[in-house]
Amino acid sequence: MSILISGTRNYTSVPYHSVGRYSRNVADKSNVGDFRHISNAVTVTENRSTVADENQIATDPGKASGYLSWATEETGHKLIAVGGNASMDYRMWYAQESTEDNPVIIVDGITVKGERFERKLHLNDVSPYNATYLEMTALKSHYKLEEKETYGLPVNASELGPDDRMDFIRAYKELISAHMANNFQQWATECRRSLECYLTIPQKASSSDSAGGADCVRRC
Amino acid sequence: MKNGLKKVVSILLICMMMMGLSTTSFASDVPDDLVIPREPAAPVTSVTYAGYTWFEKEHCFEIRVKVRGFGFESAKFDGLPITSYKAPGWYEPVGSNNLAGWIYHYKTPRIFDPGLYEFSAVYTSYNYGGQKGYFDRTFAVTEDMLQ
Repeated sequence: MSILISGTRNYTSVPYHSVGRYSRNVADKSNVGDFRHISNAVTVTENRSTVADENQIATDPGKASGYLSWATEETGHKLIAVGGNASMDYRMWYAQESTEDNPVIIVDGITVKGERFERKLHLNDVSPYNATYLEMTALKSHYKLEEKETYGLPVNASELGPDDRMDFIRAYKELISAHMANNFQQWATECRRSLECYLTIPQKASSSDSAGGADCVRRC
Repeated sequence: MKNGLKKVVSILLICMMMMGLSTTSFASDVPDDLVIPREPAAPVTSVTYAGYTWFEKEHCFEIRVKVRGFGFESAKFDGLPITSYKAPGWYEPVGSNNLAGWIYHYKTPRIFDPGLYEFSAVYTSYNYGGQKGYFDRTFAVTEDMLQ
């Protein structure tokens, strides 16, 4: 991945700003209304020269051919999750055979290459130690973790395809450690809450307890 | 009379010299490290799409944009200016503590009608001549999502 930048930098005439949560929140209101709508997904400019990073265009499923026809298609199902990452967009609904004890979710999606896919996920079989992005999203939707102010999925999962797997528990632990090292207490706390939820769900879901994972999620 | 004046002048001169010396010695007590040299925050060098989530109850999108470097944010959804509601840091390499930038999380206004909605954002570096990164994407809302 290469980013072509033209022009000359002027390091001395610009006041320095520190990197911090306070400086970050200062929105540049002068830019509002001054958007340059361009066909490419990502551009980096310097000294008014605009160069597209063509490699990054492919990391947005919204630019894939056939995306709009997929995205505007009615499924006729009660959707429980709609979303996407840098590799795919998806929508989910419960399968007909899904029960409270054995939740099964159907995923309909489109990849960044414009290929449509469908998956059937049995949530009781999902292990966060080795899971796909779709499986973790299905867990999150089924157990309504979004409402528990959890962190969301780690950003290094944002490029996983439909069948790519990773150890989410390890990713959360690494994130907690990094956030703590940088004194981002709030993000570390949210990550820890997510971690606890995902660690508890599979144990409860696979147990014979009729309440399933719902109890553990309430505790989160 | 002249001798008296000379004495006064010489005493004044001695006093001035002593004050000068004491000032110099006081100045030399200031440690050099009070001036902390630091580098400017890194410029925005890439803006990548990190994903989105549709919130069923709130009828709105959460849009996530990953920015490498540091700068001012400015975003619009369907023509309306919106501001990120949270922006946790991300690290590179993965597993390290090196802060590479923020992941901006935007929540859109509530959506009532199906159709296509345009999101666009621009990130202007704090330093390096205000180098900019752009992002835009169209999001679709269907009847299924609004049920």
